[in-house]
Amino acid sequence: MGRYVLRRLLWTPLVLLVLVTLTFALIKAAPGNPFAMDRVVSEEIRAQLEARYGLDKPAIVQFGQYLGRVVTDFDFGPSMKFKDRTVNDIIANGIGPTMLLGACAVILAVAIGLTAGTIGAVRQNSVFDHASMSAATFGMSVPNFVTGPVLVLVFALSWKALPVSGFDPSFSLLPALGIAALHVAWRVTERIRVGPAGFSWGREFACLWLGLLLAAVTSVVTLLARSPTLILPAVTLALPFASRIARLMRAGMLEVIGQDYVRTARAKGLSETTVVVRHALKGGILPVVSYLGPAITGVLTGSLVVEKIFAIPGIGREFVEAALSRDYMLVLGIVVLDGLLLVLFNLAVDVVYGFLDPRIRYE
Amino acid sequence: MSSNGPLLDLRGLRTHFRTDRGPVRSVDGVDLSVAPGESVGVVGESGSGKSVTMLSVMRLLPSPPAMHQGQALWKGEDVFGWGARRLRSFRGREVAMIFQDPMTSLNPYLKIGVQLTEAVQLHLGLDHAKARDRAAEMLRRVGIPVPESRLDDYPHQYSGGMRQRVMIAMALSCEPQLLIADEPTTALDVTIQAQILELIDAQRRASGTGLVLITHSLGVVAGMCDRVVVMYAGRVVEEGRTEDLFGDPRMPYTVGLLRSVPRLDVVTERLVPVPGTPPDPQRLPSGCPFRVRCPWAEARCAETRPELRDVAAPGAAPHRIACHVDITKAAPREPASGGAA
Amino acid sequence: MSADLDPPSDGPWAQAWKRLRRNAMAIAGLVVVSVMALAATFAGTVAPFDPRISESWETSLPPGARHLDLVNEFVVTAGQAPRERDVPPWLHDGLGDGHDHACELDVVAEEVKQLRVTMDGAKVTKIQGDGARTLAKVELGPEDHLRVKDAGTRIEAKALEPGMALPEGVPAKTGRWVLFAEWVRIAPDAKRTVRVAYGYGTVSAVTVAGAAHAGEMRIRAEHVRDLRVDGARKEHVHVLGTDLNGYDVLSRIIFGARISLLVGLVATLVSLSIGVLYGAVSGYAGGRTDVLMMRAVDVLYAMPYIFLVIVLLTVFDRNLIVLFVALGLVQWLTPARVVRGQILSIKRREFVDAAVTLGTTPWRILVRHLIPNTMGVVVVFTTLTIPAVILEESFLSFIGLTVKFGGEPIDSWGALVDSGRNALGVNGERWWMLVFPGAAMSLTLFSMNFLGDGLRDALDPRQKGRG
Repeated sequence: MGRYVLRRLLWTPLVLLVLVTLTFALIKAAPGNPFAMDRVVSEEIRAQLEARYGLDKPAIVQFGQYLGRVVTDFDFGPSMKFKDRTVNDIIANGIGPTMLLGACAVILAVAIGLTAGTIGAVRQNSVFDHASMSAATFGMSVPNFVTGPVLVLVFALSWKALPVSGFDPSFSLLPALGIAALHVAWRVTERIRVGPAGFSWGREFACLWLGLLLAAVTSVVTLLARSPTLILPAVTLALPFASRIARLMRAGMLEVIGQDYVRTARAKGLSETTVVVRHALKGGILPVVSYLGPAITGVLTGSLVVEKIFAIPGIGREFVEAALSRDYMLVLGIVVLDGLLLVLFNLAVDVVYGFLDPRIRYE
Repeated sequence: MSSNGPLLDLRGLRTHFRTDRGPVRSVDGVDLSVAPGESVGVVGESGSGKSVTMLSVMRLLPSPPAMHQGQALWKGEDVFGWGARRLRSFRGREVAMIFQDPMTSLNPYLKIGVQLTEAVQLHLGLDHAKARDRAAEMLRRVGIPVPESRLDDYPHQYSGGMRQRVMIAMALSCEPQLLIADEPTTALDVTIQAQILELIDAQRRASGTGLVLITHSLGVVAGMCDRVVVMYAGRVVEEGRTEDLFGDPRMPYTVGLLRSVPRLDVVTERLVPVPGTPPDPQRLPSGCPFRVRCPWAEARCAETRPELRDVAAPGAAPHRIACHVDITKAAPREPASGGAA
Repeated sequence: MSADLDPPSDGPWAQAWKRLRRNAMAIAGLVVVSVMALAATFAGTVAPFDPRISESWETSLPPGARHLDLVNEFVVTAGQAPRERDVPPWLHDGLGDGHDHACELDVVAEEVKQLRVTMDGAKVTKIQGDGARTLAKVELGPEDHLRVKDAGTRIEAKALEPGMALPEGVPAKTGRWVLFAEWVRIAPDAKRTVRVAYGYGTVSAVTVAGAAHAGEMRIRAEHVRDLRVDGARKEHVHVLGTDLNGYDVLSRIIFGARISLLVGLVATLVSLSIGVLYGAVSGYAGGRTDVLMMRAVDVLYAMPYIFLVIVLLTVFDRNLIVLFVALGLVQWLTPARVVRGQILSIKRREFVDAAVTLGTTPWRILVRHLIPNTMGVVVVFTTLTIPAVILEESFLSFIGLTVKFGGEPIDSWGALVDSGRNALGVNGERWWMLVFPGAAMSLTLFSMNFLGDGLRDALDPRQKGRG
């Protein structure tokens, strides 16, 4: 297991280095000078500006300096559009809302997707199965920049049940709530016997499940009560991922339920719940786990759209604005940061996968 | 509990599968009984319904598509009338099953120890520590060295033969009254097959467990079973004590099967495979399903399907066949003409 | 070509088609996609309107709205051929066709009074009519209306009196200011019928209420209540309504389909060409080259590529070529991996050995023998990549990175959805501008995904049910 994690870990800096180099090279390849575009400045001021941003040195030196600053001080340099703000300031302001939105969406997507997918597989061809799978196929095909405005149209503009947009910064309890929910679930599952007593995987799963459901319910309730502004964005962002996870989970479970070892488990006289929870879930959830990496990329990409639609002051919106106004330093900083987040999350997913599938772990 | 009656008694068991292209009659009226402690071999080509029969008894076939008719009596109670709770106490505790492929029959995501202890904890009510001891003990009995340390290994760390040993340990751990082994050696190396069969035989004798051994190999049956049941196209076609059936086969299909197996005790000039192929269960021929391959087939074989009838001498153990023809009196046609159909 | 050089013979493809036909959803998808593709190809013919031409009174019409086929104001003079831009198309087209036509227009006369409204912020304080006469109240009849002078926009109000807040249609200002408005009154008895006879190249006669009209006649569309050409009513229907600029939504969707499908197709071809070639070379070369090439793919796989596409579009000119390259560059990774896998399994087959023993060059083996055998995968990936690319392009358009073509921003579906979203209005009253483009896009993506899944199942039954 240790070697497996180590190998994954070594991969991380390489990916990040390639990402930074690629982005930096692209920006350097930009035709013209970034300052020549919209403002006419005197030669003197331009020289000053170039010195300030280090643009007077050769590209390779600039790259080295940038990389050095990022690695040693985690300093992404000054913004090119906002004179008195650094990229770090902007990211520091935007990361909170973005993470909160992303966490809400992921929790919702995983909780809904796993539950719907598992029920669909266990009650195959039931009304629930058909309904949820149709909904999932639909949810996967409708892009979130269509879902978002349509949700706004229905819930905010026509029905006026929820606010159109905005962000309530006072509210950032959600991650804490999720952890609390997990903790409660852990304690509760201690008392409930999942199948026969003793060592089993059932508890971990039941716990994860209960925790996710609790987190989802508490977050929805809290969102409704305290910060309804986040509901529509979170649902918009979660919908395609919930759909995909439901389908993956159902397919995974169906495949596993058809396996010989599930028949073996039934032949032992285990109850259907134990068969599903202990014997089928672990294999059935694997496709979902491998999908979580791409899903996080998708959530980050989706946040660009969702933050725009709902006017949430996150880094997604900053990134789009920076791209539109050609604030290269900010663009670069956000790309690197998102890349770092993705790589770290993928690492976590890989570790979880190795934890779930012993064949990989001992490879 | 009637101690004299059979443990398992199948009466006219039918298992049909609903498919888009009409029902598939995999098991089409099987009568079969197993006495306590008895070992019965069920022999037949693939597709003859032998595995499906036993999976039906365990109620392990998902329904739909599987549809059951007839009765499967366990100590006089019909298995198909049971609720989920009774069924769970039956599976694993009263009847245990060993499957064909040990590579896929063990859960790759769970440690061997977990898979071995869960049934013991459920059925025998042992706590975790005792269940682990029992699991180690079972592993030792099936010949796995250092069992305590191997409990925490995963199935992929075991070889194929070892995994089948684990399956046997798992099946016997709750001391069932009947063990069903569904081609337990088919997926294994030839060198290991004999060891596994010996192990099953020794273990079940030691505990007085009944055995149903499903196989397509007559040789295996001869060494291990008290009684043999031959199945063809979803039905029993011949049934009798092993020595009767091997010494005096009366159903043409059994005759064909025996001729296709090399025997050490009889000098045969040549081996003759059974001509033709097993029939498609969706399009069975009229009358006796074997008639198209049968060298003794007569006109009446196409009209009615023969019922099982006892052909044993009065007073001897029953020997039943499903055949219109008395092959001790009739003469076969040339095998070639039989195979052409 | 000898038999073994052929791409998979008819057998497997015919079988795949048979399997596909049994999949009702995939066939439905195929039908939808085909209809979309045809509509997009022949957009000029299929679309009921030119999405770049509109009249000012056509804005924000709801779905199913009908209006007479007129231009804002048109000019006819008896004895003269009117200029094309001065008349509606039916009149212009009829002029040269060698037949006589008669067009009847029921026109109402309107009386325009100038109003000077003094405002305090958004509050009306004083209304003055002709000659600075102060009016106590202006009551508007059922067909009367007010409009802002110069701007020409309508003021939505039933009446105007001091003390009221000015309703929608007037931009609020602070402090005291003056609004110059026009009070348009429709006289109920002022209905007249104008007849225009035309054909043979000129307008032969213009009569008003039975009397010949000499000289130029200007007809404003808003005064026309009914229009009949050769006895038939000339009307247009905007099935899906019009947008804020008066463009027909259905036509914009059809022309948007052209852009979206084109982008999808070209970028997919770019990415598949790269992917297939890369994967084939990697798989065929094997050994260290293969490992290196696949490691590179792994690294790129871990990139947040949509961000890189955005960087690309930020850095370079936002034109179609850059977009094709950007989208093509990110979609080639998966096909590269899959094709490599295919090549690895195919290259051990006998016919490759045979070709090698015949001394065929590696390049030739690759192009003639190996790549054709990966066609099944390529077909599946094409159908699954096109919707992915369409989605990405629309995503980029939506967030504002609209791509320009020939100097003008192209209206892909994403841009339509974005403009529809901005046009909704406070109560969502202009929903059709968002819902229909969104629905068209979702339906297309839905169909393409179903078709792609169906094709994958049909071409490779073993994969069935994955994902």
